[in-house]
Amino acid sequence: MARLLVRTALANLRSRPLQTVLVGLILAAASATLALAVSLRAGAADPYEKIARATNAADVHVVGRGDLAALAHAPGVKAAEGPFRLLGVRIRSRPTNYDIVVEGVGARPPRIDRPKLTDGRWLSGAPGELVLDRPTARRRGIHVGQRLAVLPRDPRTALTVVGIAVSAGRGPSWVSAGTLAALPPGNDPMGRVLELQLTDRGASRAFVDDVRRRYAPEQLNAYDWRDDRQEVTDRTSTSSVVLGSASLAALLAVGFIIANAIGGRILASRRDIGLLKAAGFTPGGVTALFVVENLVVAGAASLVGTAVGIALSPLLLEPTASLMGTATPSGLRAVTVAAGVLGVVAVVCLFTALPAWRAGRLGVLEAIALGRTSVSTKPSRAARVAVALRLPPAVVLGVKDAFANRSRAAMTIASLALTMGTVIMALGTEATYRRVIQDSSLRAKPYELMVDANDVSPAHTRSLLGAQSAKVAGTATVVGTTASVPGSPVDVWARALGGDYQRRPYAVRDGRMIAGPGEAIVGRGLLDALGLHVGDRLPLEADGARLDLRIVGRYVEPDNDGRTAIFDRRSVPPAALARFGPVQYELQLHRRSDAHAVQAALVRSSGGQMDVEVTEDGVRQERSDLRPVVYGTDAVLLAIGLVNLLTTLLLGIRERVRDFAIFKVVGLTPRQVLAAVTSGGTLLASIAVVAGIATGLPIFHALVTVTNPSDGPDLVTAPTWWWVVLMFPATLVFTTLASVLPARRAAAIRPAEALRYE
Amino acid sequence: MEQVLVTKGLERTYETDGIAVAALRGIDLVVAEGEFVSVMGPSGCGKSTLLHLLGGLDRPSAGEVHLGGRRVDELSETAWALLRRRQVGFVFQFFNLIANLTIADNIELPGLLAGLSPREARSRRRELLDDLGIGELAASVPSRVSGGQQQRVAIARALINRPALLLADEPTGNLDSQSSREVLGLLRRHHERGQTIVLVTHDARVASAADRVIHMRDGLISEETLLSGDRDPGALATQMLRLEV
Repeated sequence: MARLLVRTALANLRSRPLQTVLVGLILAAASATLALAVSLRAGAADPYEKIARATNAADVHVVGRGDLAALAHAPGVKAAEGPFRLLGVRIRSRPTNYDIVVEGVGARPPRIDRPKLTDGRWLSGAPGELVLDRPTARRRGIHVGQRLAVLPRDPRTALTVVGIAVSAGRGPSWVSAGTLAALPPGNDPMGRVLELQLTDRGASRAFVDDVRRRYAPEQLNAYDWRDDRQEVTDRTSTSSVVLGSASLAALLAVGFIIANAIGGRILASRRDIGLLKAAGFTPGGVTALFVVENLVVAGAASLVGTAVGIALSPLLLEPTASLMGTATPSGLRAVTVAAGVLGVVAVVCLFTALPAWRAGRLGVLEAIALGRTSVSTKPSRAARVAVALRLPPAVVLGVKDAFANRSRAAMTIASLALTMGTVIMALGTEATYRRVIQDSSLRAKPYELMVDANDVSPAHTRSLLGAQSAKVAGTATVVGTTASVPGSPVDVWARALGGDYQRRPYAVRDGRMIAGPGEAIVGRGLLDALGLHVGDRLPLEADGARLDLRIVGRYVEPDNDGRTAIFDRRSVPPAALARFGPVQYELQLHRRSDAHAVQAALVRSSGGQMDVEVTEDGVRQERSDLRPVVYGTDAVLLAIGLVNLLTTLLLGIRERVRDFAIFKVVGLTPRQVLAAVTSGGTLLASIAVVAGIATGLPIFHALVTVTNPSDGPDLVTAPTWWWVVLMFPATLVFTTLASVLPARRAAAIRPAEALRYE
Repeated sequence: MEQVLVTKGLERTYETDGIAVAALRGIDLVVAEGEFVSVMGPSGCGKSTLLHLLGGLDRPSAGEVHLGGRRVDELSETAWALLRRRQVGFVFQFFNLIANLTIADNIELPGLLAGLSPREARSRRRELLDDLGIGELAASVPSRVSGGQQQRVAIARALINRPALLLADEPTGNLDSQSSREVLGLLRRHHERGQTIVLVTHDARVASAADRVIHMRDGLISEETLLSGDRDPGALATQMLRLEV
């Protein structure tokens, strides 16, 4: 029996070569997409765990100048590595200098918190070599082989990047102990770091608390893997949600595509099923035959598709890993292959067995009759509208035909709507970034440039800033510190403003901007954490001072989960204010001034001493980080949507060859047949665009709110209306492209042949 | 009488796996305006192929087809489609109604394609359905009505543009005897109103409804019989069968 089934299945496949190839192509595309989606999901999920596994991460890091060696043998410690010297190093760069932390290690990478190289090689022991942490390399655009000049400038202390690596810790870079010793002493000595693994990882918090209790913070400090995880999660939360939802959308689309192709194929074969039963096949035999037939195609196609998916996966995995700061995972993994092959085979089995079983239960005559009438005979509302609009008969026919098989039409619309929804989300992301770039107050940075004076004296700084006065409209000063709320564990990032801060207010959404001392504006996160409202009092303790502030407004704050407070510096006693961090200068430029030109001028005039950041650069960087993933996913989903549309149209035509022959008999020209098929496809796609817009906008809103609870609701921006409108003609173009092949096949149907075998 | 249809040396050869099979081997046929011609013969003699060539559904390998005095065998597919709209109506054995269109839509479709206004197409459809006695079925879909009713709808669809030529391929082949009689009666009624009809059948009784019967065998016309006004179907059928043997 098994042999008979296989022989009959192969004969069936050979008798319809084009259809077999087409279904094979669709399944291969589905497998490739599935492999890509699984890779993407694996790449996006739990980035900390991935880094931790790859680097044998430490459970606890202890940093400081105290006696670290004693802690290496503390109770509960399973393994220890180090201590290694740490040094803060200033790197000379354009347009502005930046700091990195280097760890002096041996010639072999440490066993605990072992950096995972993503590019280049490990330190050879030669002086001046640096393995740079990947997030810094990415942010600064640094590649292997590049030489970095260390400040204060000394040609002997240039560092050459020989490798780029990721680690689970707070991202130091690595040099040999000898290289570190040769670095200029003027740099910031941060002490040493000891990496510990505990016998019970869960006890790490208690270990950290114990260290903090026994040692003063300036002597020793400790933090554990949960802090690392929090940092990685904070850094990657937006990307994780974007990637996770993109891969989920791709998985859904694969389900649609298989259900459409295979389910449609069985529906179109009902007549054959009737004939097989007439020839003696039992209902179970019919089901088995179709399952075998489709499995042969699915098996071959899924192998090819998975191989293609794995080959393509670096295109998505590399930017993903780069975005997450993780090592690039290999696309060729058991889970990817299993998903690509077994996933597709399982879904094919399901979508073959169900309709084949149902069809196998039909009576022979009924099945033969249904073979020609598996299309819906209910009048289509869309067709009635098309008639009422006096559209040409060919278009009306196409509109009617689009819903000839309603379940398939629904699946096609759902698949395309999914694509359109993601396109809408991509447009929304663009619009949100554009708005934030145009209005920097939405990033809680109502200024164009932020200047860190570093070692430049206040008087000299004012003179340097004064030299740019023609371009600068106003200058505010800010000092920041971590404050606490009496009786609450909540830490608040407190900022005291001075100077022209009223000129360009923060983006206050509830209440108003501060008008003077004693008033504060706060982020949403702080209000939520403390259960406060605008108008309430906010007592703070900051650097030994008690501040009694009144909340007069809530502003949009993306950082520190919105647990922030901004107030006038005159609210703080001068002695306490001096203990706040160093003064930074917020420069508000005139409308036509070029921020990068002012940045370059300030860095130049300060001899490279000042750090000057252009506010919008960070947002632009974030946008360009996300773009490849968002658009790559859109492209994949768009391809799936178009393949689904193509499948629907082709299956519809195969199922209704006779009807198309009759259309031609009654006088439809080949061009009108083309128009009919294309207009049907266009209608499905147009409905999908409307559905995609209607669902994509609220989902985008929800996603932004979930990923950025503190500022998301205030930032989320709907796509520009004309981009949305443009989706209709764009859809028309894509639909026409997808319809060309099926339409040509329909137009090429020869009535004499189609109607001959009745 | 004016000649509606003329064929000269019409041939059609099919290639299957490199083997040439001649379906038609030189058909010369003239059909006058208002004539009712049956083409009769056993299965595989080429009668359906002939009908397809006459309606432009297939292309001849050699020979000529003239419709209304115009040579049409060299027309493009589009030109044939435009010509069929106005001048040729088709009726098939299996009705071939579009399953997802209502009966009214099935009938009006060729009219709308031929440029009738929706109002005019509707009016003609009502007239035809009433004439065929199935006016109440307009809103139904084909799968909900009987075979005989479907064939009447197919005839209405073929006639809505008042074509110069009605081509019928085994129009009673899928019907019971009662429905067959009704459909043949219908065709005769329209013939009596002046409709030119070419009907293909292997059934002598059906063929005897025509004015003239052309007998085909092996892709050639083997015999022609002019039928008199005597319409005793039994006698005519006996005459046909004699010729067939």
